[in-house]
Amino acid sequence: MMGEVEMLATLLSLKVAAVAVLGSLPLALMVATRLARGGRGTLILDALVHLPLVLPPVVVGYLLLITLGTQAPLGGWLKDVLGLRLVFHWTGAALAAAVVTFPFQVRALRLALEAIDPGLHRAAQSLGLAPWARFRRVTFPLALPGLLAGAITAFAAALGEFGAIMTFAANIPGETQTLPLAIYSALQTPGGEAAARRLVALAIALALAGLLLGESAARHLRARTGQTLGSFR
Amino acid sequence: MTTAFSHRRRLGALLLLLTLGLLPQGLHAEGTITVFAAASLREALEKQAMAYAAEGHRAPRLVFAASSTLARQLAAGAEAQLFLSADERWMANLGEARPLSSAPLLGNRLALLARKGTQPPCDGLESCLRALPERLGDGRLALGDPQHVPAGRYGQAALSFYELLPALKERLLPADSVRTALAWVARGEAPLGLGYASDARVLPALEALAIIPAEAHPPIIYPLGRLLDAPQQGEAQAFEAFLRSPRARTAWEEAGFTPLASAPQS
Repeated sequence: MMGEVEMLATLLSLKVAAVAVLGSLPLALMVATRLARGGRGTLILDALVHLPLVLPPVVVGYLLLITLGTQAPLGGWLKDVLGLRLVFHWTGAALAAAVVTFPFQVRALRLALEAIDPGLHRAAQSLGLAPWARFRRVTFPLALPGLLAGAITAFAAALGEFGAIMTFAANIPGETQTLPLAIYSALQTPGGEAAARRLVALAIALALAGLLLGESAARHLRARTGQTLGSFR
Repeated sequence: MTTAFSHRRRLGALLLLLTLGLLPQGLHAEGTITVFAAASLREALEKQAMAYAAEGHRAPRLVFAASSTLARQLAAGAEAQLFLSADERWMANLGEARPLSSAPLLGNRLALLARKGTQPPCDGLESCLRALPERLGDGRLALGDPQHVPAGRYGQAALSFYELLPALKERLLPADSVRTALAWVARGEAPLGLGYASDARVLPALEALAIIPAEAHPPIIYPLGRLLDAPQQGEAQAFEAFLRSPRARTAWEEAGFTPLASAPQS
């Protein structure tokens, strides 16, 4: 049985996590491609990308607040010129979740890209495929399992993001109160035990479903790209 | 060379011993009592504790958060001798879980707060409150989470008393304590907030636009409770007596609180 609070928090969590992952995916792909290529500056870029993974999420939230809050120059500009208000808004929650889960996406993508046999690129090149066509028909299908694995891990982690969202987007029911924030609120309330337990069960179910889905999708894709490659050869 | 090395080693060992020696003492110093207190009491209670220590007592350790959060932690067995709640409900709630002796200590008033100089003054309380939606613009009204934070519950009661709740229900910014809500206001991210009159007194960034009439919400009472199953009852009683003493009363008043009558004369 799901109450209104649980329903709102669950739907909002799914929305925030989906937007966080899909929104940051193109950037993650670009950064991972750059990292996989190696060369000068790779080490420092790699460290920067991984920073949100090791920084306390509350620091990420605070940094977002002092750069994108309505009182900050950039945040004020976004609000006045583009009408985009991130603070206390679900898009702000999505942004916070995207920043914190970005390393998961880049990591998985980079591993997938680095695992691609460079011989395949050369073969495609010698067959006369243009760079974009090479990316679309060779690199992308081969990186797809990694992309999916990274996206699903990031999605599951975004569902659980707490500190950055709490600090940057606050804990507003129906707007920025995702599952972990709803659990926190329930736990602050004497007698909120029953609600907290329902939310915890939901969080576990969602996380488990995400992980199972991710693993089975990756397996399925690995099998399929194997076949595609076979026909390509 | 060898002597320099052994000197350095001896120094290292000494430092290690010092650290280890200091550590347990720092973690649970003998005779120090712990006081859990509502977030709104921070500055005032810190001052009281300093005055208490100046009289030659060991300074109590102070822990601040929303009264609801603290009540829950205490009910779960958190070790503290005294609890200062911003409402009687959470004190009563704790009383169901642990043996407790409590009596009212302070009163307070609800206030509409803004960052200094950002809002036109309120002329006429009713008209000012009715204009709240317009004053907020596209911003939100910050307050303690009405689900559990006392200040938020008083605030929501006042909004509903002035029939503002339907218009503002979607415009609230609930926070995990009254001080988190007021931090949003001080930062300028929320144009207005509901807090206490005492907050306006001790937070220099904020000003009270209006003091909400007491009839608009349940009476604001801060009870002081002593956990009878905690060790160091003597030390706890001494600090409790200090907080109710005439000298402490003056300090409470300066911080914007109203000391309540049950003080035993000392």
